[in-house]
Amino acid sequence: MARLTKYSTDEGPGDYPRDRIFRPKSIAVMGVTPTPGTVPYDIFHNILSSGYTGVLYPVAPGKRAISSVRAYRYLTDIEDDVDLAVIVFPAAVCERALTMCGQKGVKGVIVISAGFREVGPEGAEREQRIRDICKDYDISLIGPNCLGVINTDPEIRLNASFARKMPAEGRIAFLSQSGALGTAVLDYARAKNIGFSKFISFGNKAGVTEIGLLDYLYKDDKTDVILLYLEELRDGRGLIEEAKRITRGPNAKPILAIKAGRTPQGADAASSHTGSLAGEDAICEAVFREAGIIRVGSIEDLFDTALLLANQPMPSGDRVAIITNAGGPGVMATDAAVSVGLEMARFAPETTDRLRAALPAAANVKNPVDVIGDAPCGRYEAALEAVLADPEVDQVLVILTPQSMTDIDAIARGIVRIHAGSDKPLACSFMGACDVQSGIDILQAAHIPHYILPEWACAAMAGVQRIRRWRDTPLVPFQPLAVDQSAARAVIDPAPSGYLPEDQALAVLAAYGLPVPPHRLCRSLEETVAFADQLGYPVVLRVVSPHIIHKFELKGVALDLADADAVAAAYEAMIANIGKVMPAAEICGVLVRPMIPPGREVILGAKRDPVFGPTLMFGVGGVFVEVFRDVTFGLAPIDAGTASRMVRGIRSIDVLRGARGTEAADLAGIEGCLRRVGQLVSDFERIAELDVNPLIAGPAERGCAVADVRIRLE
Amino acid sequence: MADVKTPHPLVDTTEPNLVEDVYPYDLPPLIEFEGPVVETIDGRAVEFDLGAVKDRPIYITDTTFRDGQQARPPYTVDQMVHIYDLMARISGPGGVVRQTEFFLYTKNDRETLDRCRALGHTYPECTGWIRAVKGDFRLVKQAGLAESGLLTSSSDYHIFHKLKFKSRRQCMDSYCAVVDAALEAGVRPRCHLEDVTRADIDGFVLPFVDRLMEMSRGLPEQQTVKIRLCDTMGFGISYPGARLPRSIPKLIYKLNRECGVPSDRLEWHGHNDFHKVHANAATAWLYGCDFVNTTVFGFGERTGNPPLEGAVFEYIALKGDLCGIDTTAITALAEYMRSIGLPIPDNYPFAGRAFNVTRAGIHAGGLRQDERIYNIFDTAKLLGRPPRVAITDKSGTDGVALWVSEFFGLKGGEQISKIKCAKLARWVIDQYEVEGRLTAISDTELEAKTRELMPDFWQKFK
Amino acid sequence: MDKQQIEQGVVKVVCQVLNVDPGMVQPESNFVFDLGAESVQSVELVAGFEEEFGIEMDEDAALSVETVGMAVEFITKVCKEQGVEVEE
Repeated sequence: MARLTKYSTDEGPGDYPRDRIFRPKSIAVMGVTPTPGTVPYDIFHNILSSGYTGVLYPVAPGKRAISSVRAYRYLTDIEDDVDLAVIVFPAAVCERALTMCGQKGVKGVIVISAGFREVGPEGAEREQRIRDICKDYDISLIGPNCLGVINTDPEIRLNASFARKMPAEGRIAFLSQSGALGTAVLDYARAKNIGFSKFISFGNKAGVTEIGLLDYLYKDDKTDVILLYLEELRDGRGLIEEAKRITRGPNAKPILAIKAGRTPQGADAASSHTGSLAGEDAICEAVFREAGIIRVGSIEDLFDTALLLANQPMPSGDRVAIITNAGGPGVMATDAAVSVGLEMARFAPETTDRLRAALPAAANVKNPVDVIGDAPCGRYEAALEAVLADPEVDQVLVILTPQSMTDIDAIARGIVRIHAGSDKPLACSFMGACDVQSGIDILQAAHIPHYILPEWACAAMAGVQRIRRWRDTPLVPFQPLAVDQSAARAVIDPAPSGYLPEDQALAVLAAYGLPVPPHRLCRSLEETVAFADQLGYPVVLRVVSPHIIHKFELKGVALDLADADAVAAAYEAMIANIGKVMPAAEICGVLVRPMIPPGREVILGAKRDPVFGPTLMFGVGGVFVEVFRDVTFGLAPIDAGTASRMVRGIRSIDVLRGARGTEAADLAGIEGCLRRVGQLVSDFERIAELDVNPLIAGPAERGCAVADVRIRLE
Repeated sequence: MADVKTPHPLVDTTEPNLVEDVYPYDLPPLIEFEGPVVETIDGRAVEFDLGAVKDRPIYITDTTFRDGQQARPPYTVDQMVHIYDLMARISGPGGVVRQTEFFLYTKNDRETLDRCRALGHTYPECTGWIRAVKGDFRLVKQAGLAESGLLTSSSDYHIFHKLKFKSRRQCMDSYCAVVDAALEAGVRPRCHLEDVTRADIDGFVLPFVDRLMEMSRGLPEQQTVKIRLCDTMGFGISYPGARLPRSIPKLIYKLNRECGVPSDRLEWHGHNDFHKVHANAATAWLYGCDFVNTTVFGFGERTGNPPLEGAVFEYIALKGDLCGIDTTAITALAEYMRSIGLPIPDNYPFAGRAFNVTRAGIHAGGLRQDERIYNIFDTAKLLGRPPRVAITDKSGTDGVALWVSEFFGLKGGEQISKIKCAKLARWVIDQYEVEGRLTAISDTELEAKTRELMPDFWQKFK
Repeated sequence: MDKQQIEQGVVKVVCQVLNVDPGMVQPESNFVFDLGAESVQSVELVAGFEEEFGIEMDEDAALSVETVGMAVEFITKVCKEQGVEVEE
């Protein structure tokens, strides 16, 4: 998709053009009306009442003033420069408003108004027109159909949004495609004392897309963590490229995302094979995984993880120590930690000694440390100090249940004091709601994340763990395998659109090093029998015709032919039947190849997706794919790691590993085939669809063999 | 790859399909069934043909004056007579609301009964309700009633903890003695199996019902024992596959098919403790219980009983026909109940003040184009209550125009354009913006303003 | 009535309803962009024109008129259709 305003990443933050949007020195709101409760008024009012530090101009034809601020009839009547225009006019006059922005030299525009692509074809045309205007005048556009932007930086204090109240300042940036969800999130965040650096609702993303905004937030020194709520992806590859850059390497920032909805192309994709098996969502999952974007299921999870990321250092490993004053919650937390993939730390002997010295005899000095229900502040402090000092501990979770003798505030202050200066992340769970609140306030003021339940804390730690592992995984540049591209090109380039005849499809696979059994396209009975004799028996005959896709149905396949007589009989029956059932079908000949010895049938699929480009699918044949939809996806081309993840990531992997006494299939061979298919579809844009179904995977010493293939060219 | 999806091609059309065979609009939406429902009972698959309800003689019974009255200060005699009269209007000549039951203890009780009967309605028939005490049959006979309910609690909670029987045997013998006395007095007993959804079905309920059926054998039809299944605490479950004692389908099946209680001698009496009351009653109908016991607007002990008006609309939906029911009497009944101080919440279905009142301007816009978009059925015809819009700061010109059309009863092409209401709409907006008003605007105020701002229009349509 | 009278009538109604100076009202003026009409005011404008000229206008067509000049044209056409005499 066209990215309108692609800025070079070399520009310094000071003159970065999008600063016009997020750090404007002056703002004009175009289309303000004097009626409270309407969008045009409220946006203006929110900027005014949030204490924006720049100059604000209402453009309101026919009005002298709005909220006592002198109003202008036209944007061009404003004497000063305007950095940012926020357009709240009805959609019908937005084009004129944008043109005027161009004439005035405004480079940053937010179009709040709805009535564009989301309302149908007429709106889509209107959106295209405003997009063209922005292009002509080099305007950075946010929206249309969005909720606006917020920048909490005290130097700016900009609330150009529907949200009544500006959120607190914080280190988290939130990018949201949905406006309505945006306000809900802000409200929710306020209740949980979560602060934001920026809040951006980008709506129809006609101009600046999430990719451009990610780049901006990456460079934003007020932002540590980026949250993304997406409804549709239009440029999957672009997102991967950008997100990879942001989530790894120096100054890496984690990206957490929620993805809802489907692409408009989803319906298209679902009608063809690969898509119908799992839908676009699974591909999206693959995109996120490849980009290092951590996908979470709910807003709750999003903030739970973000809080830990934004407020605590990154742990250096998976080992967690738990300190609790009650046995039950300690056990629950242990279960939760282990089940999300964390490891319970095994304390060094010195730590155990220190704990034993500081705690009463009844206390548990092993992990989880139980300081007992009557624990005063000192016991918590001693325990925390000991485990933080232990090199076997990477992160700590402190649990408190309010007992009548528990001095909650003192313990909270003690935790804060002991943890200060530690480079290990700490999360707390003061269980309850009323009595513990003042303690929670103390923790939150010191930026120690608090979770009502220890399980939630563990889930957040698990999210952080995913990010750390992603950063620790070395980025292996894609290494192409040796293939004979020119041989494949010789077949593909001259071929017309549609399905390649089987012999040609096999030739293409062979050129890319897939295990294609010996075969020949025979054009007469004599040639067929002679080639079969040469191969040795048993053999398979398959009719080759551009008009026959479903060969089995038309009896165009004969299997396991044991001798020359059987071959001759099968040949004649096949030609006769097709002549009867489908007389118009042009028959190129009959493909003769050896019968492949039995093995596990797997499916390799590839499809060119309008959003994601060439995608790959893997599954085990038969019921596993058709009934259980047990398939994995990847974006082609894939490296060895992804191939292994795709093949070993299916739920029915045990079938391939040789469950219940059956032989294990050649997993490495399958992975090699998948990589080669991936390379093939990314090398040839004309390949719209490719299915190797099945690939027969024998044991490792025999390897794999392609039993059937279909390639559709565009 | 195998194509395993069932394809669903778009059926493109320029003519909307409004599914009018299901949503006829001049009737409530119809309920139609396809194929049998299978319920596994004692390990066997039993098929129920729910669609058969269309041709079965199902009825509504009422307990407004008994259970309904347990939940509130007593009604006066006049009030009860008025309610009974309206109930008869709803019931119609076919007697869809077949019976209503009365206490028989006080002088007022008997006066009420006499005056109701003096109105001369065939339906609802008047029946009595007594405790299971032999002496009480005198009251039934004196009142000249043919049938009376009697309390035969069936759970061990009641048998042992409330009634303090020493054993189930002692309890059953005691119940049967009362039934015997009723039969001897020539009164048809209707045994109320109180708390049946917590009872030991196999260990007590079925043996007891077997014995009642045995006692009924050889009696003339109008004397035989009837059974009322009382879900006293609202524990009943309608879902297929639920276990006894909570499963309504299984309970009815056992009584109906294993004990041989005919459908026309089975009645369901529910409570709303789990918000399931109406669906449970309808389930009882579908699975073979001909009578469903209700109260007007669901007023009853604690959370109340199945609402009579809900059962009425369910009845029409299942039958696909009004069957002589006068649904507009529901509105009259609601107005009467409000006038005697019984609160009906504004959002209460069919009878609340706001049940078909739209507040959002965008919904008002829809209503103005075609009232079916945001109205459940022709509420003007069936309840005498056209869909309405509430006028607030969010109403917009569309909302004001719709209010005017509706208030003056203008339909279809007669509907007023929003241009004609511009002045009224401006007044409404200024109420909020200039006057700082916070409340909705009443019909009375709007009517007065229409008279003032649109005098020609007011003259023509007032 | 002649074209000029229609123009004058339109300007009068626009000034009344939108509370703007007659000098602001030009044939090319867009009701929303140049004169600041809100959605209720658009309805009030149409009502004002109907009253001013004694005509009835189709709601949807009238509300889709965007500029003062288009309004003059539209009203002229409706006047003719509804038998109000207009000199060219």
